[in-house]
Amino acid sequence: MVFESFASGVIASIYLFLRRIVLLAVFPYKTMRRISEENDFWQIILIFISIAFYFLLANRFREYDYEPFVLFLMTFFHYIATVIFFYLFTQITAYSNAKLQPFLFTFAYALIPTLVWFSINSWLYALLPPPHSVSILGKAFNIGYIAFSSAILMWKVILMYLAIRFSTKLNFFQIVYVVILYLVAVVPYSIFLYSLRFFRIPFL
Amino acid sequence: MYYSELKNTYRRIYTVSPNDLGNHTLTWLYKLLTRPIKALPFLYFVPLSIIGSLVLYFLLGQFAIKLVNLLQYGF
Repeated sequence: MVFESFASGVIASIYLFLRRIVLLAVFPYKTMRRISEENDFWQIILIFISIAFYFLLANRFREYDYEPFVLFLMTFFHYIATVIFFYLFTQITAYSNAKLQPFLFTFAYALIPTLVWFSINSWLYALLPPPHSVSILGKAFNIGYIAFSSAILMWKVILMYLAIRFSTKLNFFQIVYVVILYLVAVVPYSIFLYSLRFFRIPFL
Repeated sequence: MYYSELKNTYRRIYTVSPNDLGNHTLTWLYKLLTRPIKALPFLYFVPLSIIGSLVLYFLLGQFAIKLVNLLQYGF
């Protein structure tokens, strides 16, 4: 009986998780607003299981300098650090009654575009490895690849903005200030990780 | 039942106060730009990114190739 309710709970979480990935692409505003009210922690666990699975798979395509588990732990650390940064900023500045839960859910779901880009990129690397020829097909691939990457980047920016908006409840200008502060910390940190050969592009 | 659903919908809508950028024109511009991407944003993202990548490729061809190589090793 206990196992049945546990299993049905997990299945419901898997369904919600998959449904929300699609809905974040179709109705990002409404979906992120709903996610900010979520309290089913299985969904966060599922997001991180997917990320762990991605690191294991990508390591087969091109062996990392570090163990996939180390990279996964670093990604988890980035997520927690991001949540704490925005939560503390909100506590200090404007909305002192902010709950931690919306931060945990919205920032976890904001990792979905990153996961999608990294996963598709690793498969493309395996199927069509660089460098590409200057033929018409090579040129078409380059244009298509930049278009795909920039579309995913736009999606990521929108989801990050909505995650900050619905968890912190800050207004547009306050969000711009906090994002600048965040980038001041993240950009040098990303360069540092690059120099240590952890990530070429940070998994944020 | 419908009343409680309606109440929940309104509560959800007003979880964040509407953005006011302090200037009527700026607020109008913000709403004009953000309204279309609240639903089906890829309808705008895909054409924009295709046009952007074509422009980038034709203006800075060699840079675009280097960028693709860099990004493909980026995972």
